[in-house]
Amino acid sequence: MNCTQAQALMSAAVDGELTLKEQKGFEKHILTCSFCFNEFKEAQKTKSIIREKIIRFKAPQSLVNSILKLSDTPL
Amino acid sequence: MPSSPNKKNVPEQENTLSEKEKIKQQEFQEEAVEHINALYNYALHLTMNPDDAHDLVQETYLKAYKFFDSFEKGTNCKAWLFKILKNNYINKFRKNAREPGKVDYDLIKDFYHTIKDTQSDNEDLNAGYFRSLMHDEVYQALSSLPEEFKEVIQLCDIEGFTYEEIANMVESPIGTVRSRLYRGRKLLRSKLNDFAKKHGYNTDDEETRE
Repeated sequence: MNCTQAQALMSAAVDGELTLKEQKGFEKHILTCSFCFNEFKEAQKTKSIIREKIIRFKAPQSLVNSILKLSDTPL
Repeated sequence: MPSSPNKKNVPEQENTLSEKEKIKQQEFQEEAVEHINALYNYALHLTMNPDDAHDLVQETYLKAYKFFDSFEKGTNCKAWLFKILKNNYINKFRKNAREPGKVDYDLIKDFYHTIKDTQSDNEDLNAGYFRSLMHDEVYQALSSLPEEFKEVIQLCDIEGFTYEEIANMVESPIGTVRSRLYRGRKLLRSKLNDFAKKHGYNTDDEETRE
């Protein structure tokens, strides 16, 4: 596997979406390529920062109520 | 047994729910309503406007309830709802709305400050200099990405959908989802770096923001 091929698999590697065969090839490549290894680590970090720091808003209560009411009435 | 007057064929009153409707209602409450916060956040990201997001989610649920029979039990209800919301959004806003990829930074700022009070708590992350990044900066960085990248990152990293589900939602092949995620994360990374640099890496409690 070369760098171009590894980069095409990068996001799937971060997200655990590789096939076993792809996974093996990818791991083998980043063991010997520090550039791709770093890219992989950076992508992982970016994913975790988004997951942990993104603001999540609560749906307003009026919206929740209107949806609960919605399924109370026959169509 | 004494025979009672024959009332068997009296039709049910129209404003009460039939048995079938009651079951449907219960299933809908169990399956669909729990995703309301996720849908609302998705709608906010798409519309950048709390009122529009409110309407979009409401219309999505109205459609979902109406067509709940067509939802395949055992499949991902959240993904089904997201797909309905996305379609609704395209029909409603895209036709005459802002160009994709163009983001109004002032709008984002205003928007953030309008609804900041309702934010839920998030765990802190001890990931090097990222510690200094604030929630709103991460939000702004993500919001400022071109829509095609922002969308897949949101669906994957925040909502936890699989590539297959995302491909279905954005109507693109899985390979496209992969490459958008790859490029989107790189872009996001550089924006986060800019924020971190602006405020200084090594400060543990970075409270000074404009």
